[in-house]
Amino acid sequence: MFDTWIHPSLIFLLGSFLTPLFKGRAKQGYLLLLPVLAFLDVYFMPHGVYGKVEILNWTMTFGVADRLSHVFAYIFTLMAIIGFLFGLHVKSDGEHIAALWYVGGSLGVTFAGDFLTLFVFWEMMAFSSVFLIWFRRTPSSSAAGFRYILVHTFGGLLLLAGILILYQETGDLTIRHLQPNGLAPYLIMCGFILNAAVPPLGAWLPDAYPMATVTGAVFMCCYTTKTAVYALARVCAGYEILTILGVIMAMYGVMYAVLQNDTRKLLAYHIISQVGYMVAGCGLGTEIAINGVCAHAFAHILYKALLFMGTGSVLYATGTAKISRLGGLWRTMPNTLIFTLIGGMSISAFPLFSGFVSKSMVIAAYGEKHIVWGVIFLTMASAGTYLSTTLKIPYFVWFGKDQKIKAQDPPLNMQAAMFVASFFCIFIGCYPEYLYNMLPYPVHFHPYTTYHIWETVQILLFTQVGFFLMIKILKGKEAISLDTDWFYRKGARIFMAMANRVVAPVDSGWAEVYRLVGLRWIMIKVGRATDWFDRVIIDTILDKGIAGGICSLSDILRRVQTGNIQQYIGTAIVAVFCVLFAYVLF
Amino acid sequence: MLGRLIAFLWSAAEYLLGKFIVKFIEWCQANLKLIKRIGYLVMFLFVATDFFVPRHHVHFFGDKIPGFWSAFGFVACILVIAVPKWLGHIWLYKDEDYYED
Repeated sequence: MFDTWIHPSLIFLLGSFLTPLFKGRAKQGYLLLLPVLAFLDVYFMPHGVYGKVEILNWTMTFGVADRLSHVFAYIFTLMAIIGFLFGLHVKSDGEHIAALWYVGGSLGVTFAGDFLTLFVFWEMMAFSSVFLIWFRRTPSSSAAGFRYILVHTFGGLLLLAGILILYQETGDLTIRHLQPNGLAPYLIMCGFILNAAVPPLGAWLPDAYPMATVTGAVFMCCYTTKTAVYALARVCAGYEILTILGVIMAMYGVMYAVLQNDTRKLLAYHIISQVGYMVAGCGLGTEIAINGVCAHAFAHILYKALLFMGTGSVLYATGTAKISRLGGLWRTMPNTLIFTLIGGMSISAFPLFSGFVSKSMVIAAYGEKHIVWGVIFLTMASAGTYLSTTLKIPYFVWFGKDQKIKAQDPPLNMQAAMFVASFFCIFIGCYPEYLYNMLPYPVHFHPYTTYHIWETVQILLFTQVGFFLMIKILKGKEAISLDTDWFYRKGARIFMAMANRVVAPVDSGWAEVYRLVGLRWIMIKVGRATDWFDRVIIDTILDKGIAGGICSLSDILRRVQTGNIQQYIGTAIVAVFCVLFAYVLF
Repeated sequence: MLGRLIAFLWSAAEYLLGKFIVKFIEWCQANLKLIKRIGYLVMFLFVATDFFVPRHHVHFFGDKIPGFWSAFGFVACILVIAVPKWLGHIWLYKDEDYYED
C-alpha cells in the first residue's frame, strides 16, 4: 500500500511528547487519534525487513514485519484504541504518557529484528508500565511498583546475560529460532518466561496488577505477558520444558484464583492461567500450536481487557474491588454486568464467544500429539476458569448479598470501550475466519463441530452445578494467599534482620573492641606496622598482581568482543534513563 | 454538533440497555422455578443426545463414553474448588496485613 515503512512505535513515542499541549476535548481526540493512526499503519503495512539503522558501528533492525509479528501488532494497536477510549476521562497526563510509551515499547519488541533492539524496548516496557502502578498514588501501590520494577530488572538481566553469551558464541544477534542447547537459549527463555509470569517467576503479576490504576490495569493485562508470548513463539518454539510449564501454569493460575478476594487479583491469576495455554502452545511448536498461540493471544487480549474494564468500573464506581464488600449491584450497574459477562463467557470458551475458537486450537494441538494429560489438565483449567470469572465474580459482585452500595454505570467513554471489546469478543466467536486469516500458518481447524460443542457445553453446565453446590465455600474471605513473592517480601526482611541483628552488632562490637583495647602506643605501633604492610605488601599485590591480571583479562575480553557491544548497552541504558527523565519532567 | 448527537444517542442506547437488563433479571427472579426446570431439561438433553453425536477424533477413552464431559466438568469443578481451599486453610491463607508488620 505505502512505499515508506513507518514504525508504529514512533507514532506512540513521538506522539507522547505533544500530549501535554492539548486540553479538554482536543486532548481526548488526540489520544484517540494516535492509536487509530498506529492501527492503520499496521493494517496497511507491507511485509519485509525495514528500519535498519547504523548506530555506533552496529546495525539495529527495527522493522521485521511478517505474519507472526503482524498479527501481534494488529491486536496491540487495536487494544490501544480500546484502552485509550477507556481512559479518556483520566486527567493525569503522566498516566497517558506512560501508557503511550508502554504500548510503543511492546510494538518495538514485536518488530525488533535483533536481540539488542528487543532488549531496549523490553526495558522500555518495564520502566513505563511501572508508572501505571505508581499513579494509583497509594503507599501499597508504590511499594508494589518497586517490587515490580525490581523483579523485571532481574528478568531483564537474565535476558541480557543470555544475549551476551549468545553473541559471544555465535557473533550473530538476529532474532531467530534458537536451538535449545547450551546456556544462552535457556537464559533468554528465562528472561521471556519471567515476563510471561510462568511460576515460580510469575508472582509479580498478581502482586502488581491489582495495585495499578483502573485504566493502568487494563493496559498492563494486555501487553507485558503477550509480548513475552510473542517472543517465546519466535525464539523458543518447540522447547519441551514449556509444554510442561504451560500446563502447570494453566492449573496454578486457576487454583490460586479460587483463593482470591480481590476481583482484579483473581483476574490477574487468570491471566497466568490463560497465558499458560499460550506457553504450552509455544512448547509444542507445531503449526497448529503456533496458530493457536496467536489466536489465543488475540482473543485473550480482548476479553481479559474487557474483564479488567468491568471490574475496574466497579472499583471506579464503588471504591473497592473486594468480593467480600460487594454485592447486589445488578440494579445500579446493569451494563457493566453484561459487558463483564461477555468477557467471562469469552474467557471460559462458550460457543459463539472468542475463547471457543482460540483456546480449543491449543488443546487440539495437544490432542494431535497424543499428549493426553495435557488435554485433560487444560480442559480442567477451562472448567475452573468458568467457575471463577463467569460464575464467581458476577454472582458475588452483582448478585449475592445486597450490600446497598450507591453506584452507577461508569462514564460513557468507559462503557463505549467495553462495548467495542464485547463486540470483538462475539464477532471473533461467530466469525472465526476473521482471526484465522491473520494467523501465521494456513488454518485447517474447525471449532464448530458437533462433538466439540457438545463437549464444551456439558463441561460448562456441570461446572455450574458444582458451583451452586459449593457456593458457601466460595464466599469472599478477607485474606491473602502466599505465593512465591514471599521469598522477596519476607525473605528480604529476614535478610535485613540478619543484617541488623547479626552483622551490625558484630560490626559495632569490633568498634567497641578497638575502643577498649585501643591504648595509644599499641595503635601507633600497629599503625606503623599496617602502614608498612599497606605500602610494601598490598601495593605490590595490587600493582603487579590484580591490576596486571585485570589488564590481561581485559585483553582477552577485547579479543572476544568487538567493543561495539558495550557502547550498544550504553545506548540501551541511556534510552532507559531518557524514559525516566521524560517522566520526571512531566 | 454531530458529536453531541452521537453522544446523546449513545447514552440513550445505554440507558435503554440498562433498563432492559434490570427488567429481565426481575422477570427471572419472579419465575425462578421455570428457569430451574429449563436448566435441568437442557442438562438432560445434552447428556441424552451425547449418545448420538459423531466422534471423529478420538484422543483417549473419555472421548468414547457418552456423557463423559458432564462428569468431567462436575468433578473438575469440585476439585478446582476443594484442593486450593484445603491448601488455603492449612497453609496459604494469611491475614491481609501479613506483609505489613
